[in-house]
Amino acid sequence: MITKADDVRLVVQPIFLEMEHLYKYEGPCRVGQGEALEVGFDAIRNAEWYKRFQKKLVDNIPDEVAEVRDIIRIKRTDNWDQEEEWWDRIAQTTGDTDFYIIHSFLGLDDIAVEFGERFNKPFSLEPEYENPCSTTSVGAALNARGRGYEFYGFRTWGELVWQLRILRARKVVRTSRILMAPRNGAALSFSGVDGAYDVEELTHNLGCRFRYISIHELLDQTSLASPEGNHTTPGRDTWDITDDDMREIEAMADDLIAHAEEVEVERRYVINSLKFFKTVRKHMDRLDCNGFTAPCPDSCSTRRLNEEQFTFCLAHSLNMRAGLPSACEYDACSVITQQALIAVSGQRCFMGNTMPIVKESDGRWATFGLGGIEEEDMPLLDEHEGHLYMMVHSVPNPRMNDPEQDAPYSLRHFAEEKGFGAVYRYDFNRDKGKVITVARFSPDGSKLLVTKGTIVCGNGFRQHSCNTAIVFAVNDQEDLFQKQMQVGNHLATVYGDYTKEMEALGRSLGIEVITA
Amino acid sequence: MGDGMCGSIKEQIVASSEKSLEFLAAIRGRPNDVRFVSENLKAFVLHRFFLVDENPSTEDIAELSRLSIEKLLEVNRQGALQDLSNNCAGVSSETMKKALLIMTLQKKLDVSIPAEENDTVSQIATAIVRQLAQPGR
Repeated sequence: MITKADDVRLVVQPIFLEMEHLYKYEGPCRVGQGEALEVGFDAIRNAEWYKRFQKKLVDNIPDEVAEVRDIIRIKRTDNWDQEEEWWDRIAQTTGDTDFYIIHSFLGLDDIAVEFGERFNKPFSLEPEYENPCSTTSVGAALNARGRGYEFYGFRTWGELVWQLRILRARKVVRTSRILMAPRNGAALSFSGVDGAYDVEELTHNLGCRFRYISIHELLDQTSLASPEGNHTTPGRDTWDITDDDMREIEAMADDLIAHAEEVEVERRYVINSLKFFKTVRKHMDRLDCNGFTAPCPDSCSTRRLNEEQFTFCLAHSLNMRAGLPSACEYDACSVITQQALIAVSGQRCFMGNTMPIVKESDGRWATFGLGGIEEEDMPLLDEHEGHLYMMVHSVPNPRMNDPEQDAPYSLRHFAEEKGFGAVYRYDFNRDKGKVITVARFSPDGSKLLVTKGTIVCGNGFRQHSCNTAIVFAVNDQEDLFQKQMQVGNHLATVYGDYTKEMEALGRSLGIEVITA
Repeated sequence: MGDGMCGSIKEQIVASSEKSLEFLAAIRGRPNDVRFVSENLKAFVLHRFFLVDENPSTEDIAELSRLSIEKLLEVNRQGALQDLSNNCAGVSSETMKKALLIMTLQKKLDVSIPAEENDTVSQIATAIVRQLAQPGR
């Protein structure tokens, strides 16, 4: 099953700690008059707090962020009870709970501290204004023990929910499974030396995991099954294209073509690209993967793509359009970066070669690939000189502005001579002035670069081949370039400013966050 | 329901609170009639909360508590804050007021009002009738 980032929720377990006095008395921590000191009053007051806690959980925690379980109630009296039964009840929840929210109170904070020590699960108390003094007390107690307990302090429910969103994004990253389709070695492709040279490092640092299928087996399955089985898997039943698949593919091709503003690729090539897409999705589904990457040059040199007449671009675009991270050039780091961006923003990604746009000493724009910029936009480059960056690859998708609806797009082709390899074209000129968030995890997943820019113009909308780019302005081009060398070439982007969320996500993952 | 009270504000509050007990006596006298109980219960609450002149239409006890606190702070700030028990846990005044009300009802009427039935006058009235109307009560 393919689990999208959008569908992942936290499991939140609330715990309500309550205290009842067994006798009527006043003293250094208890004052009152009349019935407020009577036995039974505490139970009534606790019940009100419990109802308020219930309501706050319902009113504040959005359904799409977390499933909130029924509250566990733990009561002690002024006998200072310490019952092991409490911990037995809580222990039953630790297997699948992502976060605990505890309502504490004077005389109960020690239970919260012990919870932290016993279970070492992420938790907070109810926001400070509801539990005055408890958060700082419990926080200091756990910090002093120096065991790295993941305790959070929140002033308000707004802060709490914001952090839950970050933790949800962390859960998305940690539980991601990426389908890799290598040709030779399982690590890098020949065009991506900055990929994950050891995916175990990404797993160690980020939690995500990897599943594999040989690119040859995958390519074999992009056609109808033959009785004797495929060349790479003779005699085996495999996930080849079926008649039903073909009907679906043909309908999809017709739909893509019908809704395109311009179509400069033959229908048969759209179908070929979709056969690959369908096959990839089948394997993503059977291996429970929610990300994909395959090597471009390694696959290209088999000549199979030339013979079978498709490229991977449309598959990547369609995955990204659907909110599934998908990267060119066997770049697992780009896949997991996209996943992180999707998780914090709910938006759809673009990725590509990302480079500064510079002039040579003779004053001419030196960076390659600027030929697709409209003539009337060239003055914009001069206007933003020294701040320009460009992100270019042939995998745009038309849902950058709205995850649920296509913006206008065109279809062109990747291969120049034969015209195969259907590709989306999206005109980023539509989005001039938009703020974008740009990021990438380093090859070992130990660092996360986060920055933002503003779209200056698009590039390559009318071109075929490996084109389509966002030209964007950043605050400090030199700073970004130097810092980019710690993470790699392919950066990924979503529309909107999610730098704060991405930085928080990086910290939450326990890795170094680099900002530019 | 205005009773034409005079005297200092504090004396008026005390008098109103004392008068509230008359409505509990009325409830004990006719515990089977939900409507009667409900009306007298509302009157009890308004007197207890010093809201007789305002006569708010809401039945919500928490809301009535809040209105009471608001009024008391306006007319008798020092007294309002002084008379409400407080402690380090920062109990809200509204919560305290409601809890005290429920405590008083339970004690004076010898009933038990579950937490899930103490949010509105109607709920509390139903709980009271259910218990007081039992044979042998």
